[in-house]
Amino acid sequence: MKKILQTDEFYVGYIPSAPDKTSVFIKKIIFAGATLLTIVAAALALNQKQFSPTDFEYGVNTTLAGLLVKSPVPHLRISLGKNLEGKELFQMVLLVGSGKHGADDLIEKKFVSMVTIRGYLIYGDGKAILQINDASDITPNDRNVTNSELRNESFSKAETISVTGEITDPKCYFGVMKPGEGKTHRSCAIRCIAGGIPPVLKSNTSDYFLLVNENFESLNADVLPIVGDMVSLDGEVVELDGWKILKVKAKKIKDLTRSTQQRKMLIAMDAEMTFCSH
Amino acid sequence: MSASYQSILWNRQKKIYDRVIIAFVLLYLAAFISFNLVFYPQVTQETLIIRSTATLAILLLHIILMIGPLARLNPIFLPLLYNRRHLGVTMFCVAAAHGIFSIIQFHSLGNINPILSVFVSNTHFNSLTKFPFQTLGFFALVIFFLMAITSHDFWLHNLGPRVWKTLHMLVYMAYLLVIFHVLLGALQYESSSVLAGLLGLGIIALVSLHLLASQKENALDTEEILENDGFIKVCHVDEIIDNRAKVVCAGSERIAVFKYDNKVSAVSNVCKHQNGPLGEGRIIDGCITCPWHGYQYLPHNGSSPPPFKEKVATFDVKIIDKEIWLNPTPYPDGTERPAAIQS
Amino acid sequence: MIRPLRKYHFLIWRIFALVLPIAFTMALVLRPATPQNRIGRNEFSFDMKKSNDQSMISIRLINPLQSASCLVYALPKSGEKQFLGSISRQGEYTFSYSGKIIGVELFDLIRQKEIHTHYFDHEELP
Repeated sequence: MKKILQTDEFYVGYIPSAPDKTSVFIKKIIFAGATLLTIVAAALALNQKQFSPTDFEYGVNTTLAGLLVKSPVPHLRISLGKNLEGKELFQMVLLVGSGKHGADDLIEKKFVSMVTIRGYLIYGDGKAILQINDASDITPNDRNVTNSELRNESFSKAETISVTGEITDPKCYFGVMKPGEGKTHRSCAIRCIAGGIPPVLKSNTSDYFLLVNENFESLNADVLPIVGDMVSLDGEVVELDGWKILKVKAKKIKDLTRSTQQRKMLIAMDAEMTFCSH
Repeated sequence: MSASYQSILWNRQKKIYDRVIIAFVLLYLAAFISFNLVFYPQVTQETLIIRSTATLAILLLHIILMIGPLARLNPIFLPLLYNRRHLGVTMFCVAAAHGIFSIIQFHSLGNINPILSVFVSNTHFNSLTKFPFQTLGFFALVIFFLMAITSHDFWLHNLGPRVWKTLHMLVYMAYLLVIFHVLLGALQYESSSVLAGLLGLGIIALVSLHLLASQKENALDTEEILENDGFIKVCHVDEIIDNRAKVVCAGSERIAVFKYDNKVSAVSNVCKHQNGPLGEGRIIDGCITCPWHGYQYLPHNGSSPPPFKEKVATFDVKIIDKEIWLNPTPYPDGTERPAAIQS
Repeated sequence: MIRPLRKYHFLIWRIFALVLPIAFTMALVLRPATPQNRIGRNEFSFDMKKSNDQSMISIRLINPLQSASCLVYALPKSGEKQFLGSISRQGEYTFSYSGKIIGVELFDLIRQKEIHTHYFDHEELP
């Protein structure tokens, strides 16, 4: 190596040919560089975190019919059929707008009714979300709402639990972005939730909880400071049409964000979890 | 060297250099994307673009920053330095693709301006691991942008070497920003040690090379000098090979003492183009030729041969008993001084 | 390169030699532990137990579903498939069916696609 590196040659860029020894050396460097580049590309590409098995059918319209419901989060309640006991089962398909927007504006003027909605499907883990691109993609059906379609019957019994996980937006998480969680996605999740997409707490055991306040209303503005952080939240959980809904008191979220801020003032460099307790 | 400005003065070596750069960029992107598509079929196109450009840009940045100290340590690396600015502009383009796609992906189509969103979405400015790392990448990209658009010699002359060099020294600030951008961004998400390991290796290699090169340079700047009657002793005349120079550090700056045609002349060691070390150059066709970009000066007057206009300071030299002595007081740039004749 | 620049370079890289290793170590040490991502998709195991005239079907979802909905149907020896219920997240699900079945079908109603059909071995059949 030392022998190669010792040369009496003098390289001048605008002279068409480089001196022999220099030329040979640079060719070797180029070859070594290309090999190194490929190795680095392989090493980096093959050691990423796995991407979730979710999908966003961008540009492909899916049409679904069901009951349009605005509260606690905009969703379409679709019937799955009657089981052997004769009970009709439903699935909640969350509705979101295009980009980083919720569907509230699109369905604001629509009454709770049976509708047909056209949009792009976002799905994974047996959960479905429909992106509505325009209010005209929602068309009312003639059919009346049946008794079993009234959702109150479907609520499971409430129980109080504590869940640890990360708050993210379901639109990105269930397929639009990979990864749709974690540090690199935090700003995006904040934008999405600020834009009206309902926040979801993804637990460390891969369970999902739609977050609402004690009055079953949106918590979007309250959770913004803790989106993307590892948090523990407790509240009442009810199950509705395949989704768990966690009712967290808005005041507790405020306390949690305040205590997080205070803690950060004291310990500027913390990477621990932030807790919320009764 | 040029008398007037053209967009780019192409020559064969630059063309080869640029082809190699393009080939490297395409090779890396093709490899990274192919490995992803085979082993991670679930990946999205946006993530592929963001990650392939991110990793390529940081790799290119390390290569760019290594070329300087490598060329200081051994001149055989000089061909890599010759057209480094094209490598820099390429790196900026790749980094810009990463930045623009990331802003589109993570910040656009929301309820506020995407650029504003970079700064107001994640507000954990007082935490280390939760820090809004995207802001760091944003500022690094601004620096790379300023460097890329001013990388042409037109700007070097119009801004003046001092402003231009200061602007381009910001690359170190940008490097620091990029490293923190990765440490507080991707590294906080990925759990594999490969990304961290490669980044660590890059940092170690770069810091070591720069420290080694600096130490080598520092040793020359602090050499002891023998002074007599306003002249300082350079060396024995036989110590200098014909058409080459010995560099001495006198006062505030280095001086190159050239031996050619049985004569000895001294000029400033600092090339007017980009402060290249003239004393490490050669005399070709009767002209001192800078090792960095080949700018030329006549040894007896420090002036570029017509039509070129660059000029460097000259110095008085004398030879006593085969020993070369130099007066370190500079004459104005381009002043003709008689060469000392070897007896 | 001019002398002040050389000094400036040396100073910068000495600072970097100090700052970068500290920052690097801290970023790694303070890195939050995140749950491991799940690998694979649509992976199941099926089991059926029979008591009297009841079939107890258990489905274990090993890897997450890449589907928008997952309806479970019993496939009787004869006649049309029967809707049992739906599954979503990973875990174990049990359904009972009064009668003889030869298999189960998992169907994505929203996407109108069959996810998986499993036929039980004949030995398991009564």
